Amino acid sequence: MTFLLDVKGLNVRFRTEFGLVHAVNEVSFSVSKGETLAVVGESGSGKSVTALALMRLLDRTALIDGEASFEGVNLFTMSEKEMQKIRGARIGMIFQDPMTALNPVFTVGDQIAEVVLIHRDCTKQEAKTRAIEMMDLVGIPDSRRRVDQYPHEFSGGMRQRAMIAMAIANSPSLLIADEPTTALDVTVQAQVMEVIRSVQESIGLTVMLITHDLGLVAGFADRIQVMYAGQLVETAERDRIFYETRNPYTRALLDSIPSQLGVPGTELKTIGGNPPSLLSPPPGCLFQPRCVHATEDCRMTRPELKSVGQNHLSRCLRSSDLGVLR
Amino acid sequence: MTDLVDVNSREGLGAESLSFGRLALRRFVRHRPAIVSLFLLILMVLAFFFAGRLSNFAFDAVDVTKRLENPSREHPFGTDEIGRDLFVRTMLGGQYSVRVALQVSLLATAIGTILGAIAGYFGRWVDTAISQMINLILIVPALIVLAVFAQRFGGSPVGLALVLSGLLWTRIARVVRGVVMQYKEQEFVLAAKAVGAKPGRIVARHILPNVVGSVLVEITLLLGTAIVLESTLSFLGLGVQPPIPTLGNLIQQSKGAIDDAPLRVLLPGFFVVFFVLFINFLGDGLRDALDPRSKRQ
Amino acid sequence: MSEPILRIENLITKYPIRAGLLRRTVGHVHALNNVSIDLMPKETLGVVGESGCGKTTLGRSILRLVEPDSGRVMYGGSDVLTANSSGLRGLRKDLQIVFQDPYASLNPRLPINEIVGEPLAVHGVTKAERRARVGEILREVGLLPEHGNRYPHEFSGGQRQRIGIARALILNPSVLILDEPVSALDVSIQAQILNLLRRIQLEKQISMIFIAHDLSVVRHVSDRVAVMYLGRVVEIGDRTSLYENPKHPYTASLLSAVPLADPVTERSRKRIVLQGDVPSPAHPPSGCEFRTRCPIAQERCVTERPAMQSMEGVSVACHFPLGRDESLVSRLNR
Repeated sequence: MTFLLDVKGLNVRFRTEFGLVHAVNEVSFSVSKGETLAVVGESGSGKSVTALALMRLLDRTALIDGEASFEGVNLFTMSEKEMQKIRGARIGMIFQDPMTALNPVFTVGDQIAEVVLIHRDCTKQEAKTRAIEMMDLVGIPDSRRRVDQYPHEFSGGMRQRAMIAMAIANSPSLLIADEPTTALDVTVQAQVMEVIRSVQESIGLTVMLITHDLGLVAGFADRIQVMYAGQLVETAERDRIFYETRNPYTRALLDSIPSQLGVPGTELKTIGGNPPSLLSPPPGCLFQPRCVHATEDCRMTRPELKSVGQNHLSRCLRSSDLGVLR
Repeated sequence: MTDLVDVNSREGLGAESLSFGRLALRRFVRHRPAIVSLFLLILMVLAFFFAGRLSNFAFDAVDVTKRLENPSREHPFGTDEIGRDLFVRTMLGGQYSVRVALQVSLLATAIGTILGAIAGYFGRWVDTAISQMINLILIVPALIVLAVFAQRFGGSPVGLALVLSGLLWTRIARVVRGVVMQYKEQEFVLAAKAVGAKPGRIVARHILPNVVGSVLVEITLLLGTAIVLESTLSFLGLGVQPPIPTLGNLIQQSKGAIDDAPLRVLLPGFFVVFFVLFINFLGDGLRDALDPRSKRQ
Repeated sequence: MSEPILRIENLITKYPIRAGLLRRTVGHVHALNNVSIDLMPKETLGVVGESGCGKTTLGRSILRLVEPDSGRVMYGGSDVLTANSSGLRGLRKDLQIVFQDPYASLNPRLPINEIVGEPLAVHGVTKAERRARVGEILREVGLLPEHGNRYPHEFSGGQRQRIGIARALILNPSVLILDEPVSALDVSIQAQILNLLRRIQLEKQISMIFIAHDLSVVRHVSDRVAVMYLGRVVEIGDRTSLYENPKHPYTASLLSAVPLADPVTERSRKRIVLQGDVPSPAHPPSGCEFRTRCPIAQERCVTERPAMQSMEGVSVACHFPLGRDESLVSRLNR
């Protein structure tokens, strides 16, 4: 099994006026070629920061350590110049808000072509042709005309498609999508996920999808990893996470979703309390104050990620005696 | 209830309560250029108002035997072409310049805040009327208008202050209008409306406190502008007239001596420059401290 | 059969589009285009729709935070829209609103006591009485009275939303409008707030209008649901009928687009993916506004706007509504 991306011991700490915030805490994972990995978590879980750290897009207040091997090279030991050759060429990234991710003073075609021109030795005309090709690939209708239009002439869904086009214009091997549909209407959301899916098939893309929406993940991911308070708390193949989770946080998260299939009007199972402070995290398990299964031991000891099944890891001291949580 | 707030958890909910003002003060104190500038500014202003007393000479004491002397222990800044002590004159000049600047700032702020708030809150034709008035004032070349008005009314410091205020209120009005318009749409203002609060209460309680920050910053900039304008006009002979000294007309008086005794010309000028410099740093610090967008992490 | 507690009749709210040097009005955005809804006592009416459908404008128009252009909002025998300022202040005691953004709906300069106590202050309650009431209501929403001395930035999103709810409840309103109250919150916090609202409604017998874009959330809290598209209500009916047997093709498409947190169901579903984007509310299509994206649109839909018709307990505005036990997929296969 060839790992396209192998992350070991990633830690990201931010220097703030109140102290060091430990936003990503000893995170290790790998992504296989061709698979879709979903990184799921609520706000403050560290999922977006992980992606930004991998792309080295964080500013100088961020202290990063760990290793990230992509196609054999360590992303963190590269020079900035070498990293620039990777961004937009080997790894593409799309962001949440299509309104602000596109520059309003350049045409959409120019912006897609720019990504091509930066990384390839070709003429402007060739880049533009490629841009039109990409726009067709992502389903933007009337591409020959639209390539000369400005972002404000595009709707939200189309702008997101344009962003996808920019991200894949150089046939990268990995696409990182950070909350790609959160800002979109639900009917448009479905369209955009279709686009990502079809693009993935046609150019053999590996996708790392970062989101808080478990519904999105149910229809799209191969493997899921769940993050909480900067730590990876569970990772497994998709169906296992939904139907055979071994982690109390994942269970609680699944239970708090008002499902279309559940019984309406009843009390939702909530997770009491609030996420921990990342400035001074508690000594034991980070989820312990809110966990219904917690014991005294959980308060004192920080659990490690343990194997609980085939390709199934969970971070919980009680995973063996709790078994599958339904 | 398990979802009750844990008082000891999280960001400072267990620690002392921090109002917006106190947070801002903390941030301000950390801005070194601002704090240093504030300190030096206070020193300068105190000097203007009290340092003159250290000398025995009156500002208008003429002594033709002591013309154009170099700085000495008796005359720390030397004397001018009719023997008057320049140190005392410069300090007094500073006093008047600062006084005019302060008066201008206060008056311009008062007018500007009221008109800006009205324009911003009520919008429509009221806003159009006030905005067009502002535009008209801004279009006309300031110095020329000022010169004309200053000629007729501005011989005294108070007159000049009135004239400058009439011009500079527009800047404050613009800023206040912008902030009021921005806050008018905020949900907490809508919430106050939804609860039945009258416009007066909404503006006073919800909008103006948020305007204060921006106005404070603008006042510092205004002080700088006012002092420069005053100096310029007085230098041109259109502002405060002798015998009352201001930093501006002191420069003007000495300008003939620029080749022989450049210090005489430059000294009052230095005070103006440093005043404006310190004021700008102060404004920077205030702006950083009051930036409402810095949310706690 | 009881009487509605709130009747919204033919509400029209337009926003002018100004352009050019002289800022002349060149057109209108029809945010609300002839909306009529009844709210029954003690019920929760969910209002769903995507961006541009007018649901937020609806909430604000009812309370005159945005002034509608025509229509009536009848409460307790009088029309909210024509009430004078003192009448309106009185009505505002009974009709309250909770806003979406927990970060923008609380004045950052005021302590919680003053924010939650403001409605009382505006209506002339004494300071001592206010303190007591504020403490009480903070407890009811799951906070401690001591928190009254703190400032909004010291609280998390979910806690701030509780404060917003406390403020809306302190005058004991009979109608509560909630404008996307949980959209900005994490799922686990969302659940806390939804439970809180449910409890409050049961205890205080309040009638609620719950505006949201998340269909699962709306399903969870509502008795009846109204679906809006481009300023109009396209379907309105009881929750079960609407979710299990939608009559309007837009409702069916909307439900189809919602991703479910259940892989097995997700895999076996037949999805209907609407083409194109929501048309601009400034230039709504002729006839039925949904026709540009409707998979079953016909010629009649271009020329004739469908009226609301009652069928099987729901009201739907469509020339070719889906029948009982007929899904959009089966209609398309025909």
